[in-house]
Amino acid sequence: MTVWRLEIARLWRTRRLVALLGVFLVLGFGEPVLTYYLPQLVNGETNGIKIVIPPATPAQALKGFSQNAAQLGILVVVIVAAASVALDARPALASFYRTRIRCPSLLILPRATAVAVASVVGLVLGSAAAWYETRVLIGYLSPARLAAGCGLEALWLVFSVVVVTTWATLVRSVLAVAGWSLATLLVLALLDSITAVAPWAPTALASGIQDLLPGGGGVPWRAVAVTAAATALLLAVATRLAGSRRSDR
Amino acid sequence: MLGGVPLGGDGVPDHREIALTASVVTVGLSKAYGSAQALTGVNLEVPTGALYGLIGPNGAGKTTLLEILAGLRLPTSGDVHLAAQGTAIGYCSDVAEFEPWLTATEVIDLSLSLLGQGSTREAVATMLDLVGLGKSAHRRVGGFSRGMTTRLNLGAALVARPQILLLDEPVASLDPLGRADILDLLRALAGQTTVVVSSHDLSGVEELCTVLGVLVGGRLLFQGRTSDLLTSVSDDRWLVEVRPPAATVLAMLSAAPWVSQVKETAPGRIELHAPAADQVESHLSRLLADAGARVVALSPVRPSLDEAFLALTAAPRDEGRS
Repeated sequence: MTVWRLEIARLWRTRRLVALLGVFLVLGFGEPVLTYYLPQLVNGETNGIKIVIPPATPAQALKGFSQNAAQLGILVVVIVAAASVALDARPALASFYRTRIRCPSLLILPRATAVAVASVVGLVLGSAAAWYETRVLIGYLSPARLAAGCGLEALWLVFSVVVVTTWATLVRSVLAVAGWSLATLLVLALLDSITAVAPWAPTALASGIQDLLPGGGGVPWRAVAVTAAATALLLAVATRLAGSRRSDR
Repeated sequence: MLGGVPLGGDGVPDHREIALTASVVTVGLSKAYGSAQALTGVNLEVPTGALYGLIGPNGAGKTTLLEILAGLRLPTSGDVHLAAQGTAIGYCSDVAEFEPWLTATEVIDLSLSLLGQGSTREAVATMLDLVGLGKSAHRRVGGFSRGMTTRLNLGAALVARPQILLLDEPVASLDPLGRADILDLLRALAGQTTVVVSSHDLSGVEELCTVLGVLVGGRLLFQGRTSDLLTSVSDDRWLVEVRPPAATVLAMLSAAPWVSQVKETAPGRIELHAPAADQVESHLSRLLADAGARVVALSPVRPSLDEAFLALTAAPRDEGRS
């Protein structure tokens, strides 16, 4: 059993794969339905106030999916990633791996890759489900734009998993890893509110699908470059830290 | 002779192969956790192929020492020399843990794979049989008892045929049968693998190990042959077992000038202290014959490792109390 097969088994047997795919699929199938029926649910007159919601558009449905994927989806991804990459959360188990794996990258890279790939697959499946439901219920939208936006959000997911992986080499417990990772992503989201920083912030990619829908801001190339560079850098740092870590720290 | 090869630049034990008659050597090894000194100037020397017992009370530094040898901890100062490459060193921690969703077969297979060795179904099955887990090969280890997990831990370490095997309390959670099995298994490694066993189970260590290190308060108080430690404890006790009643024998022994102390520990079972062994050898059998005793057994009391350990560590413990 190789480390890669081990990680596939970890995702499958611990039901983490179900959580990762499930959250994006539920959002993908659910959001267009909610968007479609929202006018019927809300339109009406209460105490003389008439609420009128215009008919749903395909862009609205996919935007809703993108927003929820960026919040609920990323929360699930961070928790699953923390549970998988927190190697030193169980010292006896960590000693089993550390006394056998001599290549530091093999300690964390397969774990991070497995979660990142599963998250991206979940996002792709969720996006496909959202596109299909939107087409059936509301109307047609170019799948090419959705695919491109999905690519941006996929990069954001990979970056988030690498943030979790880096924290796993600095703190030990799953809770600490998840907590610090979420705090880091929250700080990045706050940076996004600074006009000068926003175009460069990785969080710009979290709304990748929205940006590429009609009326969106287009591809945030600066954020793509920063995120790709930061992902590579953090991965290198995490690998080095994981290799040099000892029980003392 | 042992060479003084320093630690690597990052403080990691140097695993370069060096020509030694000892496979594990530490020179002046010290380890501090903040202000607490766990190890102080430990000069360990484990002969190649030996079964080396590392004994000591709780908190003596045994686990810390093994973890440093395994590369899991860094020493504060001192040198570590291991006559084997990294993956040729097997380590079993005192608390074994595996991914609960793996089967026993998968754990052994994974262990081989992580060590960069190819695995065959036969090799994995043979190892599981060897550690007594053949019937549980396809069970998930999350449902294993502590003893079964300990056996699996040993199997996962042994399967790669390490040159040096570091075992922290390998029989602590095993039942008597399991303990005997594992001791037999380890005994069979003598001469092929250098084994360092840390244990509280002194009778097991006495049974298994030919060389001992006694670690107390982070210091190595004794290192040498087990037999040397046992003979270093002077023991003037003799055991005489006669068919009860033993009153006559007891009275005659009490009156004998060469006996310093005598007591009946159980009906017919007499323990006597006699400083001069030649006097006992000359007079005891005649005294028993004169007393008309029906002798069942007669032998000098050989000190156990427990007694030798207690005698050796008495001074430091007394100092600690004062």
